[in-house]
Amino acid sequence: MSETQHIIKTSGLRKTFKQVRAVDDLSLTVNKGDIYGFLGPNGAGKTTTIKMILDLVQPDGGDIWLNGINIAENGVSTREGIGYLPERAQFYQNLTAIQTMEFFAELKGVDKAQCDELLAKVGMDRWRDKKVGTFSKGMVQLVGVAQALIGEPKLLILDEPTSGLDPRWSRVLKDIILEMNGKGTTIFFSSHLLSEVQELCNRVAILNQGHLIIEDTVAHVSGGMSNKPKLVIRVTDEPEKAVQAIKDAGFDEVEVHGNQISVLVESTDKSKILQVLSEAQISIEDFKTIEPSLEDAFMGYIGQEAIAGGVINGP
Amino acid sequence: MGLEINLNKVTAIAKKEFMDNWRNKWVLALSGLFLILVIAFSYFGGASGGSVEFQGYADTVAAMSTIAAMFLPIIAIMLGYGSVISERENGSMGVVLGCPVSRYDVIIGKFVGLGAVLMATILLGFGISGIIVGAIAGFEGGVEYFLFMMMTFIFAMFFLGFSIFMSTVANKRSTAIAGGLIVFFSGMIAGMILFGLWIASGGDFGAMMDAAMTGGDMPSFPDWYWAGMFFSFMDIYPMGAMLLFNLTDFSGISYAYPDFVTATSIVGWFTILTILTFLGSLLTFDKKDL
Repeated sequence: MSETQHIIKTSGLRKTFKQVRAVDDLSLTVNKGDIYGFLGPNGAGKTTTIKMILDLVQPDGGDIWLNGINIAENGVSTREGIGYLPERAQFYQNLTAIQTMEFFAELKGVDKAQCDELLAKVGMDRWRDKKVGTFSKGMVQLVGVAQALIGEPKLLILDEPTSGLDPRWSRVLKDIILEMNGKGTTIFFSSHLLSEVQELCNRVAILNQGHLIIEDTVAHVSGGMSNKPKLVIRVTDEPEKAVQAIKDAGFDEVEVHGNQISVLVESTDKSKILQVLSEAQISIEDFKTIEPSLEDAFMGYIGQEAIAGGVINGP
Repeated sequence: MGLEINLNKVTAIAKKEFMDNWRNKWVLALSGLFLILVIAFSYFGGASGGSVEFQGYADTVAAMSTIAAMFLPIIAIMLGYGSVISERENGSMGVVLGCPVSRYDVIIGKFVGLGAVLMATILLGFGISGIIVGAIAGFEGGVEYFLFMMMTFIFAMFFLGFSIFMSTVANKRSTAIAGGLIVFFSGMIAGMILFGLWIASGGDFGAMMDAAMTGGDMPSFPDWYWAGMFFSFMDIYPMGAMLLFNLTDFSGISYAYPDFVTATSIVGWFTILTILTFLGSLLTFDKKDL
C-alpha cells in the first residue's frame, strides 16, 4: 500500500434523502496533520458527509478514501485508528463512565488500561463509577470526547465537539485538539463557532446546501471575499486632520469614531499610512491591525451564493 | 467486502447488552416474575380440580403454559424493540459503527446478548421455582421440565428476534413496537381464524361442543388445520409444552394430534422462525442509513 498524503479524500459524493439533495458532488481533501474545519449553515450537509465518511450512511454516488483506501471496498478495516464523536452523543444509561470507556476500548481492540487516564484528561475521573444516565449533557459530551481519544487515533472526526460544553471545558477540548495534532493526529471537525475554527484550524471547507463553496487555508478563505485587514489607529487629537491626510494619500475606506480611525488596507500599505500621519505631524497614541475574520468571509460566501444560486470557485 | 465478523467484538457487544439489562434490573425483575408464576400455578393450579397443593411438573406446566404464552412474547418484544432503533436515535450506534466494527458484529452481538438475558431469566425464574416445586412435589418429570425451559427460551427467542428485526427496519421506536405487537396479536387471532375456517369447511361444531362439555375426545381436525396452528403461536407453544410431558389434553379437552405435531417439530418451527428473523435483521441492517 503506497503512503498517501491524504487521510480523507472524497470525490463526487452525492446523497439524496427522499426529495432533498443533502450532499451534491462533494470533493474534499484532508491532508495528514491538518486541523480541518468543516463549516456550513444548519442543514448544509456536514453531518451527512461525516456519516458517509464513516460508512454510517451509504452515498448515492462518488467515492471516499481513508488513508488512500476506498471504504466501499474495505469497510471495517478503514475505520481503524479513527476516533469519532457525533453531535449530541448519548451512551448507555445503565453503564458507568468507565464501563462505557472499556466497552469502546474492546470495540477498538486496544488496551483498556488507558481508559482511566483518558477520563482524567477530560475531568471525568471523579465520576468513573457513576451511571452515564445520571450525567448532564456536558458530562456525556466529555465522556464522548474521552472515548474518541481511545487508542491514540490517527484521525479524529468531531461533529460539533464543543456543543454542550461550558467555556472551561471548551478550552480543555481545544487544548486536547492542539495536543493531539502536535502528536501527529489529523483533526476533522465541524462547527458553527467560526471563531473556534479560526483559532484552531489550518484548513477549512465551507459547505452550503450540500455542495462545497470553498476549500482552502484559513488565511485564503478569510481573505477570499476581498476582505482587507483593518488598521485601527488612536490619535491624540485632530482626528479630522488625520482622516484627510489618509484620504489624500489615496485610501478611501476610512471610518472615524472619536479619536479612533479605522482604515481598510492591504497588509503592505499599513506602514505607508503610519508614515503619512507622521509626515502630517499627527500624534499617534496607539494602533493595531485586525485581520479579516472567517466569520466575515463565511457570511460573504453564504450570502453571495444565496444571491447567485451557484458554486463559487475558490481562489 | 465479504462477511466481516469478529468474535471479540461480538462478545463485547453481547456483554454490553447483558450488562445494560442486568444493571437495569430487568433480569432480576423478570426472573422474579417467572418464579412467582411457576410457584403460584403449581400451588393454585389444581384448585379447579378441587385440590390446593403443590402439583408435579406436568400439572404445573399444563396450568401455566397458556399464561406464559401470553406474557413471554410481550417481555421479549419489550426487550428487543428498542435495541437498534434507540441507539440509532440517540447516536450511540454511530459511535459503535465508527469503530472498526461491522454491522454483522452488532446484530449478532444483540441476538447473543439479549438472548442471554432471556436465557438467564428463564434459568433463574423457572429453574429456581422448578427446584422448589420438585423439592415439595417430587422431581418426577424433571428432565421434561428442563426441556420445557429450553422450549420456552426458543419460543421467546422468536419474539425477541422479530422485535430486533423490526428495530432494524423501523425508523422510529413506535413503528418498531407496533410491528412486534402486530405479530403478537396476529399470533393470538390465528387460532380463531383457523377455527372459523374449519367450521366454514363443514367442521362438526356439535361434536366439538359435546367433547368440551363432557371432557371427551375432540373430533379429528384436518391436517391443514394443524399445519395452520403453527402460525397460532400462543396455541402451539402450550401444546408443545404439554406434548413434552406426553399430555394430549388441552384446556380439559383431549386432542388427537397428527404425527407432524410433536414437541420436536414445534421447537424446530420456532428455531426456523428465529433464524429467519436473525437473517432478516442482518440483511436489513447491513444497508441501513444511520
